[in-house]
Amino acid sequence: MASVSVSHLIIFIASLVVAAGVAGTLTTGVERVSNAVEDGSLDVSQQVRTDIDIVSDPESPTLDSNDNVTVYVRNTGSQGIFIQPESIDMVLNGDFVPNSEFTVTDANGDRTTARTGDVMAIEINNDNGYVNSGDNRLYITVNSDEEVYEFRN
Amino acid sequence: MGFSVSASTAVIFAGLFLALGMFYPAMANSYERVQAADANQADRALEQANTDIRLDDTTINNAPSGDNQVDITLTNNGSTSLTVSETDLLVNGTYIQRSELDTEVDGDSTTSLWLPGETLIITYETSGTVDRVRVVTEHGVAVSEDI
Repeated sequence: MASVSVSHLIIFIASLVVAAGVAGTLTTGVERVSNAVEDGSLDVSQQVRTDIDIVSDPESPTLDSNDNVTVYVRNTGSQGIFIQPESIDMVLNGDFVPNSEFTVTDANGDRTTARTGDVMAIEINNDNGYVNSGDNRLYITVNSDEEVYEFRN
Repeated sequence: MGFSVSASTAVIFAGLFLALGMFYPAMANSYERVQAADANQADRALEQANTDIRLDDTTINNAPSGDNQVDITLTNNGSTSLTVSETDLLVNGTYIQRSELDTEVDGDSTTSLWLPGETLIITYETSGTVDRVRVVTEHGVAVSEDI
């Protein structure tokens, strides 16, 4: 009889260990998914709140003697944008413009964050010949919000 | 054997209960956050659609200092109130800093509100020539004109 009780006790402990393992794995997995969903929603809401608009006049683009082009971009969304090259991705005439090839400044002062209504001045250095002599197409992406600026040189 | 099954089932159900307790607030908060951002975007789109401005007149006069003085007369033709301090001017494609502009809404040079139907006069002095002006409102709605 004693051997039956011992084997029952062993099976009981084993079943509890297995059940606890399953429950632990389940809660850990769900916690990870929950954290990922929270992070994802934060990113999505920031992307939805980000909105930019090209202020520059396509008819008379701001080009200097070296064809360095300056584009004025306004933050029309409700999400602040850091005024730094890392915030902005640009493709000019199919060529990606690296962060080292352009500068971003506050058009009205020296703030470091563009809030709603603020205008940023983006100056692209043309030493590598990004700007064509005829038609040009600049594709700007800020936090998944895209704008296209087409101008003639 | 029967008690082992009951006990392990209870442990698994407790785990499920905990997992659901963590998952629901995360989903609810995430949904609300994205929903709020969406509503905000819809509001902005509506305001942009309701915004309209008209460029009535652009004149270039001689300022007392001898520079060219550009007076741009605009009317808020839409149904949204606009902010004067967030209305931008580009002359010959170059952005003019807001601090360099003088503004007047229906004779009031201190107000920052440009309400529907009101007339805004933007005055800018420059020593250079003025061939083209472009005015952009806070929602990105723009008008431009060759002089």
